[in-house]
Amino acid sequence: MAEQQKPMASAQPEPTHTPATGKGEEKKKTQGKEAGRHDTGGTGKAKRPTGKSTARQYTGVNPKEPVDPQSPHLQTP
Amino acid sequence: MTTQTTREETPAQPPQLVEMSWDPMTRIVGSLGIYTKIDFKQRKIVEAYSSSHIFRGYSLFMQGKDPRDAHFITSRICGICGDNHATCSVYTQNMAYGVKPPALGEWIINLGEAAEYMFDHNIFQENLVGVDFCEQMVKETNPAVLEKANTTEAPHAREHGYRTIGDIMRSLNPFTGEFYREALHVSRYTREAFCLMEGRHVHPSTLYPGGVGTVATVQVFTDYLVRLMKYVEWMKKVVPMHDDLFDFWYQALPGYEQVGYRQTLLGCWGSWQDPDVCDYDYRTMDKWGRAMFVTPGVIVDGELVTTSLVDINLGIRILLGSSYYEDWDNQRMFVDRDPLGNPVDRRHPWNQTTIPRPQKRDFNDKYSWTMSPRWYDQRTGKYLALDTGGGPIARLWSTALAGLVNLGGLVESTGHSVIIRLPKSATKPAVEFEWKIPQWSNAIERNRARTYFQAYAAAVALHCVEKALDEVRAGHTKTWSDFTVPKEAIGCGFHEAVRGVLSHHMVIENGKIANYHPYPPTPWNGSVRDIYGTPGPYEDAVQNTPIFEENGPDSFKGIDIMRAVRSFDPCLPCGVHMYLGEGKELQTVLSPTFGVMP
Repeated sequence: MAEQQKPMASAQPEPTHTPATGKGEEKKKTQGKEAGRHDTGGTGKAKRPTGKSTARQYTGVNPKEPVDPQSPHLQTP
Repeated sequence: MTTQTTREETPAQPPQLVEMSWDPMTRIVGSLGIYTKIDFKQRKIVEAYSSSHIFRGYSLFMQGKDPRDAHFITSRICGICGDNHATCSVYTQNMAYGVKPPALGEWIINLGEAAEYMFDHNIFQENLVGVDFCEQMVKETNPAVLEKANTTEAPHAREHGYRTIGDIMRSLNPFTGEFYREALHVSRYTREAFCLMEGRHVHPSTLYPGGVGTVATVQVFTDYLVRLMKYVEWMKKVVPMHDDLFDFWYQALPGYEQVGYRQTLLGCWGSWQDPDVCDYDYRTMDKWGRAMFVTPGVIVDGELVTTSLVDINLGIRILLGSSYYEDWDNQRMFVDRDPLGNPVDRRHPWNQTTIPRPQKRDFNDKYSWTMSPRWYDQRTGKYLALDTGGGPIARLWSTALAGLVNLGGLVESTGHSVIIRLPKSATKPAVEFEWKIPQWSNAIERNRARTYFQAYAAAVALHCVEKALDEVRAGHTKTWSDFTVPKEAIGCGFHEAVRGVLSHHMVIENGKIANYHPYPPTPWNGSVRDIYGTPGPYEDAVQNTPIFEENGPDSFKGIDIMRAVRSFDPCLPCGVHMYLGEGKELQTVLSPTFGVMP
């Protein structure tokens, strides 16, 4: 007996999984860049983007910058 | 071009031939079998077929998915080099989205991949290949060779600590050998090094298109460096030890160079991007491909045909002939021309449509789920059955001939060799190794190249960790660039999985994946007879392999065949089914421990 062909609901199948965690690039569009991060242009012939951080990236409570303003803020372990 | 022609039937079998098969034989459980016909009078293998029994279908279920999930899904292709797939998929997505990771993000990916090479080659070479050459195996297959090994002084005994070749063989005995057990520990800390960079091994959790989510601190790189320097120390023992072992094999068994020998037809798709040059734009792919720390290339009979990733890309053809699929001649073309305006063939992965057609295995017709990837050589009009030689031999050969790589002296390509310089470590002085282009593409040289490439990966990692620390010290802590997924785009990524060439090709339509085809090394190495009857590399290397094993048909272990196939880096076979002719079948289950209980 020939199988009865079922009509297809849509061209694309429904997703079987709905992600619970948002994608970073989508969050940035709605919430903007995280506090304490700023872009600083690009490096090399390929112009790879660069960015630096301030103490605000790691804490919102009394963030402390390095004593010497020329010193980069190095992330703590 | 159609792929549906029928190949000529195999001629009737001469009576002295004995059929023997080894199945399963790969790290993808139960998927690869080697079927041979052996002439014990002439002591050689006259016919070989490789057969894959599992259909996986990634190219089918990738359709309709969010492209941003591609690296998480394709990582699951492999349980040991999944991160190679994730990385290659990220390269593909970077091109499709037009995004460039910050240099620090690229150094972290490079360090992760270096750790993967160090881990995976170590566990395969030291714990799996080593068993083929250990005392117990040699005693059971070539006792006369073991006798000779016990009285042969090891030329580099001072470097590795083993006085005779027999002592080296004893150290390789599984679970009891000193070297074997030390290598297990090395696998542990190299995986730790990987996890420091990409969160989890082998399916990275901090690797994304546009960069990585790893928090880059001085601490994380010094933790990596501690493990790397232990590996540097390890290499100073491993490389001279393997040189002694493999040189002895040629000396003990003249003619052994024919085991696993095939014409030099090698492919390498390049590894480790230089963030100073690479912008992930297809139009500049030739330039940034040549800046990779392993130079991509196609080598035919010792000649480097091209180092251009565009040439490599456009030359890829997926042929049928002996595979359980229907042709896609009448299906739609996804990509007519590449971004440079070059025509793209219907049999290119961008245009492949997978139409599975399960059927009974027939060695005169269809006998495998593996297709037949080939590289079209425009000079000759031939479809070349390239192999990767398990990865390292093709990488070193291509890099050596191209003469393009020099990482501050740590790694230097000379045009005919590759020099690797490792600095002073805890107990050993600085050393210099030189891998020279070998005379043959055979089992022994594939294995030798692997040991040298382990040292190469360590040297590249030393370069990358310094570069990453420079970025951190400059305060460049950004590791990821944001991006937008375009409605319509194409992308391709070229990389070296541990076992060799890896490419991913993606077509995005309406913001979803319309076509996606990953091509890892095993479809190349384990490919089957194509429409033109050209055998795949495993088949080619096993055919005409001479038999040096001292056992007759009744106690035959097939060690020379095992060494030939395993030199391409599939997995240790856990079970063997032997057909001895006249309806008699011998089933033997092999234990990798040779009876030793843990």
